[in-house]
Amino acid sequence: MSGKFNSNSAVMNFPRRDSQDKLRGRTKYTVDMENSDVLHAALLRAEIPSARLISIDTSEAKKMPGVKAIATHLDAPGLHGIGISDHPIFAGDVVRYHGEPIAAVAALTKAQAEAAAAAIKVTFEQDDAVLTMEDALSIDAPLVHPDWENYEILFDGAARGGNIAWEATVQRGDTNAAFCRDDVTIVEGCYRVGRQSHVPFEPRAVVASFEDGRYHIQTSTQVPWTVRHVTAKVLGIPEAQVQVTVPAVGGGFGLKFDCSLEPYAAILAKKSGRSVSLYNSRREEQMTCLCRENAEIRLRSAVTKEGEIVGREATVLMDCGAYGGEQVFLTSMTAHTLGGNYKLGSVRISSRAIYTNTPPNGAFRACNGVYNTFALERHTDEICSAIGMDQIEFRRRNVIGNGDIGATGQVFEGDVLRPMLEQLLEKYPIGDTQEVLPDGRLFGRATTVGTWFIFVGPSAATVNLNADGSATLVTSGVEIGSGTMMQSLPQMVAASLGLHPSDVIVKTADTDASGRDLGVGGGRTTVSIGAASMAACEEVREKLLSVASQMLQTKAEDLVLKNGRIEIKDRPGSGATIQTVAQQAELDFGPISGSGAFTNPGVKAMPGCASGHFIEAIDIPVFAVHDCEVAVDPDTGHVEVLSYRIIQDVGRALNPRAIHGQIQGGIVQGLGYALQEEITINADGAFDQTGFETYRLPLAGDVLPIDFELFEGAPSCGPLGTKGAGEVPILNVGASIACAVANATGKAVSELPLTPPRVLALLDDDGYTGLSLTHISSEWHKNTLGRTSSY
Amino acid sequence: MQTTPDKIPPSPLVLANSVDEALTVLKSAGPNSVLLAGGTWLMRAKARQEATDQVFVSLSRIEELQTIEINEDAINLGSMVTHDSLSKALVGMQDPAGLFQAANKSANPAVRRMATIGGNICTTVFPAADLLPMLLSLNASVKLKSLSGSRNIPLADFVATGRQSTHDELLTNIHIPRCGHFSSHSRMLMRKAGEYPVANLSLCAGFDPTGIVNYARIVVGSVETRPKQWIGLERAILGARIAATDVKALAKSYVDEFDARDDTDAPGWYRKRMLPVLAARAFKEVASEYDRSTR
Repeated sequence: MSGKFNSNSAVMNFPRRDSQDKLRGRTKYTVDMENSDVLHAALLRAEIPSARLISIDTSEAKKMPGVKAIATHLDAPGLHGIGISDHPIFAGDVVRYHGEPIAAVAALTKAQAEAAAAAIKVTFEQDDAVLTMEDALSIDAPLVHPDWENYEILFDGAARGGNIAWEATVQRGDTNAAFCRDDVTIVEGCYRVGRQSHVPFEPRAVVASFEDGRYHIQTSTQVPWTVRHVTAKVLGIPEAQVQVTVPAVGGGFGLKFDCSLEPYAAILAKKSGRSVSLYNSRREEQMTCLCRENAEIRLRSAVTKEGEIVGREATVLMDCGAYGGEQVFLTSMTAHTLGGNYKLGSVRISSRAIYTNTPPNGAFRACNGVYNTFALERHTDEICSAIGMDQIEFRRRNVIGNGDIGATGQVFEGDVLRPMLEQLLEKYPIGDTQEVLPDGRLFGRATTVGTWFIFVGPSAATVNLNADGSATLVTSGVEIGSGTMMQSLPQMVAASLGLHPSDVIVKTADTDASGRDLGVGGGRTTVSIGAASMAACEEVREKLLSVASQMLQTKAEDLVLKNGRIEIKDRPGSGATIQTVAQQAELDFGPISGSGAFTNPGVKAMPGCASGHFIEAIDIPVFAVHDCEVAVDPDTGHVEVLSYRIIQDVGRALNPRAIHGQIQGGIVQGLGYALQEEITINADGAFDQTGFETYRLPLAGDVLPIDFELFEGAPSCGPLGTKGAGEVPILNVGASIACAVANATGKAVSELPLTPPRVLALLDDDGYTGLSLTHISSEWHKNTLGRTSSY
Repeated sequence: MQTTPDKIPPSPLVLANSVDEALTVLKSAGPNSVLLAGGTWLMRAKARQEATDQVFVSLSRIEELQTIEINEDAINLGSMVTHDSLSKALVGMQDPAGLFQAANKSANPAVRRMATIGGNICTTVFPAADLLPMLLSLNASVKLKSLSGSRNIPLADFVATGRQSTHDELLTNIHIPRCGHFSSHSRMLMRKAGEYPVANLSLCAGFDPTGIVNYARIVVGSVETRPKQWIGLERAILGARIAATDVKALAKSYVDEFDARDDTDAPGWYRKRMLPVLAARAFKEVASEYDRSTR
């Protein structure tokens, strides 16, 4: 009954209402929620990577001053995981990584809890550890999970075996025939990346209590419903006994996209009868970070001299650490990132999550897309060298366009990447560039493309129209710093209801009050929660307009919601305020509210192409074109980024200023990954980089302003044509820097980060032709568990 | 319900008002006491998983340790002078230009405002100090005070004996003779924005009227666990006409004097590789200053 509203009214540079308090340090995060009633907890963590536990003696620790409760594996019998239930929250019989929790202690002070944790006596027999994926895949490797066959399977269809936690494969077309053609050049390359730590300024933190037979968990998380589910699962209790609420979250970047400290605090709260605060020290946060995983990749392509990619084979090894976690899910994404960007005549992909005795990894902004794009774009430039084709021309010819099919056979809609590429080249034409700068440094430029996606899935929303004319949006959304809860959501609700965004209250997640949601991550908040919110608004609009129609004796379709009023179309100042109509509605029917829901539309893949994939086709692809110029110092190996510019596909930009912030931040995070941030794992299975002294985040002096243009109008099922804009900026940064450095030096850049020693070693090695990862076979089918045919 | 900790620990911090008071507390507290200067190293003890249950004797209230005296013959510094205040005092001066650079570029602004020259000298486990190699190249000496008196010794001797300050002595002053030479401090970082160097090189050099090097003191920091004089390069450069010398090529012949440390910050081979680069930068800078002085 209600007409369409003017969606342009949702577009504005609405400022964040939380910025003042956050900048002044007034915002209370979970880590700040301490008071005299709260007990403090500490974890006893393993300091070896692999061992059989013989005994855990807490008797002395229990007598220590201030100690109120101690928990061990006996208190949490359940296993959790994604795809497979392989993860206990405490090491019980076996230690599988350095830093794995063995016991948790709650005491009156943090120091007392730490002292008591240190007093717990653990006896164990150390086992051989597998610390690298190469070791894990060797024939005689010790198994990280000898009982892997007995684990509960949560998602069917994947191949598994030994230290291979999960294997997702894609086969489309006849790659064997493609590689046998006599008119193709075969190009092969190997690539390797290390881990990246998120370093949110608020570490993972939780305050838990147990009251009236239920757990209340206040936590710094991106996924309140996951926390609810996992806590219940490991404690062996009904999910309804767990309430999760989320204060302001001090950054996440994917680190908080999983349950982590919450069950420990919950157990200790119940055992002690008190609220319990548990948070990671900065060292713990770093040493047990659920990092972007280290990965090893082999790519092989058959390409004609015209640049047609007739066949591609890819194998990606993703280190999931001691437990499968997010990497099991992320094996699915290789098909859409490494298998994205370009038209492929035929393709087969093996994407494997590998168990090692190292700290588990997790989700991180654009996840494995970041390194798959690095490998793909470097491989693309190597193809160009091999067939003698210009790098830009190759991309022009091959990027995915309208009607093209992706790796898993999904049909892409719309020409997006090619016009984005042209937009960039029009703004920054490729000119005559000098190879050596006047100061002796080597100059290089690169333009790369990238494909990522919006992680959609179920969301729910309720909108309450208040008697004062304001609206309250209730969802399971969480403000993690990106501003979505402060900007795009209230902007959408306001536009739909004719309000100003400042009149929209956005309640943060409370699983007792809001509907289920997959969480804040994967660029999905604006899209999924936004769509659910818009659906809820639609119900509110209908109710409002129905009442107003009666009040104003005007058909609902002749009414518009605008500037806090319901007016008769084309008669400004007519009608009544929304507040008046809302009050009338209360008298007639009761308060107005609406509920809405959203889930992904389910784009289809080609049947039979993919196995072991959680996502066979992507509902909302997102594209990016990046371009950068670098100067490489041949004496020191230092890489200076001279310029960085991007064209980003955003669907529709509701708040360009907010997107600018995400682009600047995302690129900077990518520059850290590309150039500085390195994690190495020592013989004890621990990270060498224990904190900010050695883990080199970009500082203010390391970064540069990012030049950007937004590409609007690409197809999207998101509300008002939106796509998520916060996740994707980081996607091509590693790729762009690596390709530019390769162009500057003429060297095979096969690894990230490009630290000065790594670049200098590249420059030194005259004969270097790239990595040789011998544990990934050139014969693709040998990189699978045999469930796929080899033609 | 109001709760309190079961046990309140004793105060671990003593704010000494004089050198004698600090020495008295040090002596009485014995091995469990630690001097607290700027605190930029100690504040990260927990991050290094080191114990923090010592008695800390803070020197921050002792005014006589914060003096800066600059005259024609020497620069005299109290040991609690911060990097920041030192660099401000040295702006624009020729012969201590390297000391200015070391103080002005070390670490980051926040650390420079807290970290002291005495702390930089006495933190023996910190291998990447910037002031220390520069002071060594400038032939600085130090004053050590005890309850029974004081003594002055060359900084080089203090370093050679391990900078093992006993609980009977306190480093109170640093004396830097002004030699009229030129100095420079070059640092190699792994990121542009600033941090501790993976290698640094302090140079004090003199030239005769024809531009020939007639004095060179080169001290390398952060490559080994403590600063080390680059004797081979010093000897090789003497008598060279700096404008016509490829310092980088010359220095390459002497990098094997160093047994470079491998650690998380940088591999040893990289630290050594950077030394000729740093030497070339340092000599280029002092040569430029020399040229300017002769115009």
